Amino acid sequence: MPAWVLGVFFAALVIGAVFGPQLSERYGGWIRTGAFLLLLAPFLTIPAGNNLLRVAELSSEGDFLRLFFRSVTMATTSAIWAVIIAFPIAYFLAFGIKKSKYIWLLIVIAPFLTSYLLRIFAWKIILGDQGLFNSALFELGLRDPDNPVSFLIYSQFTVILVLLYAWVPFIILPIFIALESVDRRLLEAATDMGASRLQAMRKITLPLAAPGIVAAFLFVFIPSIGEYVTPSLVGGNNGYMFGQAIASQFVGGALNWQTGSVLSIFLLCVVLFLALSTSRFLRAGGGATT
Amino acid sequence: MSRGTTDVFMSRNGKRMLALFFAGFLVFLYLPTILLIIFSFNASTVIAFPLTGFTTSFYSAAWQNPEIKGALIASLKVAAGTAVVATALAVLVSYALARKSLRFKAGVSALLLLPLVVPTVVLGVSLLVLFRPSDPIIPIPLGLWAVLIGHIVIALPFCVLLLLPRIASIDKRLEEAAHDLGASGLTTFRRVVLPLILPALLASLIVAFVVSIDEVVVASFLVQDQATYPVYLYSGLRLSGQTSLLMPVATVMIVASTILILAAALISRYGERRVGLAR
Repeated sequence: MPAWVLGVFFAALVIGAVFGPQLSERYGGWIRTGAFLLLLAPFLTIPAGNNLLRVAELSSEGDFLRLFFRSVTMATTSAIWAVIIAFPIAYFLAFGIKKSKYIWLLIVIAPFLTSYLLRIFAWKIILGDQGLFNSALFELGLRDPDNPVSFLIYSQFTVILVLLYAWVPFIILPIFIALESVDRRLLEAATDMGASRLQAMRKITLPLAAPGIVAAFLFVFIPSIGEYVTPSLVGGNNGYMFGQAIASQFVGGALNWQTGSVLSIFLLCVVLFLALSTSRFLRAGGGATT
Repeated sequence: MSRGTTDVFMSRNGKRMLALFFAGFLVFLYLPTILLIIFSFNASTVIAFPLTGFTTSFYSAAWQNPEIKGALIASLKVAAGTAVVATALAVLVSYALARKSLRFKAGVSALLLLPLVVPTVVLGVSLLVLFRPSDPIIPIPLGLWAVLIGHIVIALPFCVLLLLPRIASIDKRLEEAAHDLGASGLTTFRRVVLPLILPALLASLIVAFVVSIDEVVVASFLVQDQATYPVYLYSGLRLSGQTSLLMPVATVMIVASTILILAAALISRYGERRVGLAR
């Protein structure tokens, strides 16, 4: 098949995916979903021996699909913990603070807006081989300077920690805004009718804030799947992620642009599919952030 | 809280626990950065307590380092270019989206916001393929110009998100009145629209500048012999040996971007009030 036929095919699918709902009110969602499934098909087609990801596979880095699922797992873990941490903060900001609420909100969010790289650097100061934690251990004689505790800085755990550190301040905002719009009279009515605070929270506040919470989850999950900087600085071997595999095909050791392109398009399709199929929530949260 | 009204959201103890959690979170949030700043002034290359003394020698060493200085200047250039071009494009696009009836308006804005979800590593490698030195598809040499283009793509959605709501909120009748009084399209834009969106415009310039000056992934694929500031920091961190020269670099960047972001927040809040008055 000549390359341009393939190009036109892909372009048509992308257009279908993006413009689907506008082309047809009724079937828009189906056009979009169908287009994306078709886009993903070459990567995942059965028999497994022939699909693109397998073709792209390299023995040194193992199974790309497995690597991809590891990235998804790490992104999921980060996103769930981020929401668990961000929710009480947003709740406290929305309902617990009466005076200068927005100043506190700004204090919480400001770190998100300053450089990402520096926040990773800051953790390296604490957890690195020559970092605070290890030097304390050397000082106390618990560890030999030639043999620092390095799983602290090069591991899956640290990648997730840094991702949390980076994203929690940001996702407080959509949760906060969702909580702020909860009508307080509903809760008063519920308490008047004898509901406990916990019941009122479960039956009223949480369902009303759900779109904000889902948006918050997606705000962490979607960018984390393709994360590159964090794992390459603090990931080590066991925190190696899909984004790094892509980069290594272009500038790193593996150096195979074709493989890298296949992996990139795969990641792109997954991320776009996620973003478009959840755009309702993203818009609710994103509209709130502007 | 006055007597008689019970807090429907949390009990007294619950509030105390939440406050404690909040305080702990603030420590978690700020302590690493504060430690970084403290150790950039510590008179020792070893990162450990107790502190050994105050020094600014790392700062002067970093300042005299030609590599750091070059990277800083390169970053400032790229960021300034990004701020101007991305904001200009965003004004045009937002104006069209807010005022003209376009087909596929939602699709166009979806495409505009796309760079927000495209993983930066994918964006980086695709630009690398586009500009590749051997047989380029678009004949722009790798280097700072290529980085500039990448950063414009990344910054554009942020600028549109800042500008579009402001432009859309301007009362159409103001422009119509200007037009009826004989002002040309350009004059109307310059005398009516521009003053009203000025705060959002400034915020957009600042945000695009900060986005660019902090961006490392796309830049790391596109730089040639002259690194940008974040790329320099990134490669320094990867090699992970000496951090004492990097800490002043990082501190300066933290302080500068914090100030800029606060300025943008203040300006855009002021702008909201102004547009509110104009309505």
